[in-house]
Order: sequence, then structure tokens, then C-alpha cells
Amino acid sequence: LIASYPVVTLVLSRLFLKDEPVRTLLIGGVAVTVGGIIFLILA
Amino acid sequence: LFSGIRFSRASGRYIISIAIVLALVSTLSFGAGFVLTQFGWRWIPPSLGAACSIPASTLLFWCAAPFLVAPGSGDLGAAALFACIGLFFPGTVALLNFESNRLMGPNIAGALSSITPVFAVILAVLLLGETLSSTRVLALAAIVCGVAMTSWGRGKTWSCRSVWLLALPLASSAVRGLVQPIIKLGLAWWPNPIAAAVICYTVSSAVLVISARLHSTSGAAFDRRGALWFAAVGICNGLAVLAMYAALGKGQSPSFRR
Repeated sequence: LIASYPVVTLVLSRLFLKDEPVRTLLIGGVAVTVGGIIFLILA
Repeated sequence: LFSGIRFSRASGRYIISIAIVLALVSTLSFGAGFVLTQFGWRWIPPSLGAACSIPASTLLFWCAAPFLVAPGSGDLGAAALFACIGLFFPGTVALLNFESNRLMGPNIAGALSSITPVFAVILAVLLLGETLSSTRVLALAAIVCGVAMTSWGRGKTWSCRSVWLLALPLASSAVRGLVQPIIKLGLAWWPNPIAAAVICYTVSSAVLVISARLHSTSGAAFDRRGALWFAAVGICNGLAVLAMYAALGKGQSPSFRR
């Protein structure tokens, strides 16, 4: 659960940082990275 | 995760364990720290920011210490080890994180700094001779793909600097990955992670403040607004660490309302 903090960063930066671009590829990249880390911890 | 959430027939509601709540607090705090950093470096450079952020976390740990650290249970050898670690950790990690956050933005910096478990696996393979299972190889491949995806679109604006820019958050993760086994060694002598955090952060605060004082004489600008933003980052990170340790401590007890 804690390893998923980059997703929180993504959501908060979308809400509060208007000049920070949040692209589809970035969202996908963060999701895949977090998924990989969780998978690595559980493996 | 799901073992921490159960359905109560008596009340007809789902009961969430306190470990899950604490883990959520930790997740939110870690995530918020990366976003708040963006406001801080608009006023002061990351080197000065680290000298505000780490002491703020230290203050939080000192406030929690009387409730969580029994002085009688202390071990001098472990304390000396934690103090030695404090000379470079978490100071270097904060500096690398803030600089990568400034150069790459909070999202990529956050995603890259979260890959510390990768270095733990690499260390286990290199030093302990552990073999990589196919699931771990798959997970590592997914992480590499994810990191590549986060950086892909920005290649247009980053040019050749992209590769070495990635080195900053990766170095931060590597330092954390390297320090963890050394801290574990100290925790074997004094099994109190909050005591370890108090000592490491206190020494690191002293190093960063002295370094910032020396830096300020060479003309670096200090702004109170930036200091306050970075102090908020420090509070967020400190709270995240405290909540994480509390969640790990409560992980075995599933009841929330007991």
C-alpha cells in the first residue's frame, strides 16, 4: 500500500500543480512502475 | 491489504484495521511531500531546502520519542552506528530527491525514488548469492518498462540530459537500498526503529545546517517562505515514516475498534 505513493503524487500534482504536465504515458508509466514494485515486494 | 479489511455482521459495516489507516496516512504523506517540494524550491535552492526539511522531520521524531523510545533499553554501539549512518543518510537522499524533483518534476522523481526494493533485490543477488525467481524477473522488467514510459514523452524537451537526470533519483533509491541492511544491523542490537530515526536524523540535521551556513556565506539566498514549504515537506516525510513504522507494528492486530 505504501509503495503506491507515486500514484498519490500524481493525483496531488494534477490537482495543485497546474504547470506540471500529466500525460497518458506518464500515468501509464507510474502505474506500471508501482505495479512492478508491489509485485516485486510480494514475490 | 485485504486481510486488513473485514465485514462485521454485528454492525453491518466493513471494518478497516488501524494498520491500513496508518499505511494510508503514510502513503498520503509521502505523496504530498513530493508535491510540496515544488512550492519550496521556487524560493530557495534544494541544498537550503534540505537544511529546513530534515530538521523539521527531526523535531517531529523528537516529539514522538518520549512515547516510543525507552531510554533504558538503549545500546551504545547501535547508537554510534546510527550516528555514523546519519552523517550521510537521510541528508544525501533528501538532497538528491529535491534536486531531481526540481529538474524532472514530482511525478517522475516520485516514481523513480520508489524503486528502492529493486536495489535490495540486486544486493541480495550480488552479496548473498540469492537466485532471481521468474516472478521477480517479471517484476523487474515491469519496473524498467514503467520507468522508460515515464521518461519517454519528455525526451523531446530533455535532449541528452535525460539519461544522467535519471541517475539522481536512482542514486537516491540506491543509497536507501544500501543503508537499509546497515540499519538492520543496528536494529539487531537496539530493536527500536524510532530511536534509529531520531539519531540518524539528528546527526543529518546538524550536517545539513552546518553545510547550509557555510553555503550561505558564499551568497546563497534564504527566503522564509521557501523554508516554511520545505519544513512542511519535512513534517510530511516524518509523519510518513512514523505512520509506516506504526502500521508495521500494528500489522498483526486486525481489529480497529477493539
